[in-house]
Amino acid sequence: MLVFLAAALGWLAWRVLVDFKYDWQWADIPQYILHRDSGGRFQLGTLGQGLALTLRLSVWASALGLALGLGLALARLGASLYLRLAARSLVELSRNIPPLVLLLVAFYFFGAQALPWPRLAAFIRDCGPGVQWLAEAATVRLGDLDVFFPAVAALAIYEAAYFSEIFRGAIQAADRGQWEAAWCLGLSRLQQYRLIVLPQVFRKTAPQLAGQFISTLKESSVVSVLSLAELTYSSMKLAATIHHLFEIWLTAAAMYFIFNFLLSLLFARLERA
Amino acid sequence: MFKRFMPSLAIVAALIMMGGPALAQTGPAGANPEDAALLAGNPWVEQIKSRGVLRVGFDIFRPWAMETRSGRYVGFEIQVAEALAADLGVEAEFVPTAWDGIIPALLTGRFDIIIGSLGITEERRQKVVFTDPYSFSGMAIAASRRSAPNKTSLADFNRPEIVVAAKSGTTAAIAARELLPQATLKTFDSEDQTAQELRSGKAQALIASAPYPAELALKSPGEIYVPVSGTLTSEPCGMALSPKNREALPALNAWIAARFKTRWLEKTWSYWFETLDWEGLLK
Repeated sequence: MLVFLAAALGWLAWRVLVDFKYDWQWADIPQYILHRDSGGRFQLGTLGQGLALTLRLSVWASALGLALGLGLALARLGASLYLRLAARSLVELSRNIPPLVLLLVAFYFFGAQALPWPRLAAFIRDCGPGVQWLAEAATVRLGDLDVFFPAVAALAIYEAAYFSEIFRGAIQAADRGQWEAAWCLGLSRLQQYRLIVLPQVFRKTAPQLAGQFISTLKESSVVSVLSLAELTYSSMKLAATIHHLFEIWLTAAAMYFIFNFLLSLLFARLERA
Repeated sequence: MFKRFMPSLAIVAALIMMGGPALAQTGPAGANPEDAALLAGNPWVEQIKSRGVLRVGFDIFRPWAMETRSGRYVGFEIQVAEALAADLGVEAEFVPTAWDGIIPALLTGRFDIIIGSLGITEERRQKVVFTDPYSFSGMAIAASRRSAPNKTSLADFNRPEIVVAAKSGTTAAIAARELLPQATLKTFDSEDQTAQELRSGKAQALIASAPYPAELALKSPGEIYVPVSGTLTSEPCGMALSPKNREALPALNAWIAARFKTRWLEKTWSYWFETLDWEGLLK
């Protein structure tokens, strides 16, 4: 079996490296990640900027997804039948729709036709260069807000379903005796959650939450279909400019891998600390 | 007269091999007062002037529009758009958009105008309005030496067993279907994928806008060749607007005519398509 696998891999490598007759040109690639400008300062190239945008997208989507996921988990465990049904519907909807389709739906619901993004952009511009710089550093060029927000919303809804399941499991795993003891002490339902249950839930679920963040980072590549210049779309643009397909996509894959792998190492270390 | 614009592939090939002497170095686009006067007073123009920004939709496509390592855009379309914006007295804001979605994005108001070598076709005319042509593009063919050697006419490729690759949603795909109705057409999201199909031998030929096929043959002469030289078609390309901005057409047409008259469009075209002087701009 192993011999067969090795032979298959070898054949594949031979096809790609020799039979394909691909003209490898790696020298041009690094400057698109990082280069020195004419003043000698380091500047991010288009791929570096793409990775930075991927990161911003994922941080916003995960933060919103965490909040929404916690809300959904609490709603599903709450007393109100209406909330339970609504939360269940949302979780099932987003778990059973492909993220790409969810993204396109979000684009038409939260994009420029439905919400006044150009007016918001103009408002931020009027607030002065300082505010504009801050807004653009935290999100994206103002002209792209109408794509950035739907993208964040779609990723957040998609991830919220998974976050809510993680939270729900952990809340239900809290010992029944703790709820009863808290109730005996005269704590309200809110206080029981806030003081007793949720602190344990966050501690217990930290590894899964970290894993889900990395998964958000990977999912965010679907946003490239909206022409938002995160790492995947940046790579497509670079491919159309310099035509070194294999080098560019191997570089993009390596950038995703190295970044996510370092993050997972960091999270593992934080857990032990 | 427009045929003159079409760089014959032989000239392109020779120039690329010679490293491209400076034929017509065009300077940075500055406002031209006479051309600017042609644009004044139009409602669409006034709306853009009051906003201070002309938002331009296009897709990345070497050498029409390319992205530099620091994320700026350069290319033929970019230079035309910058000249138009300068004459409007506004900044150009470039909104790169994947080709398949470029018309919907125009119609939903993501940008004001498409300046992206959008070929003028009847099908597109039903959704957008076009200005007079400001450039012409032509389709060319390249073939694989390994899987389709020694062919010298289009008829050699017009057979069911021949697989032709083209970029989806482009006039290249339409041209492939019209020129080679018997052949099997396979479409891809990018031109580079069509080239890879050719290299791997899965497609026997590809059809794409000149000068892409000639450039491929020059880069890998042992694998890829140009069976039929010159361009197979000549397609007028216009700037596209949403139909609700139809009233802007006379002003834009007058601007294009003025830029033809001074041969500025011609010189700009030959700078991007007949030389490689711009390669340093990608840094």
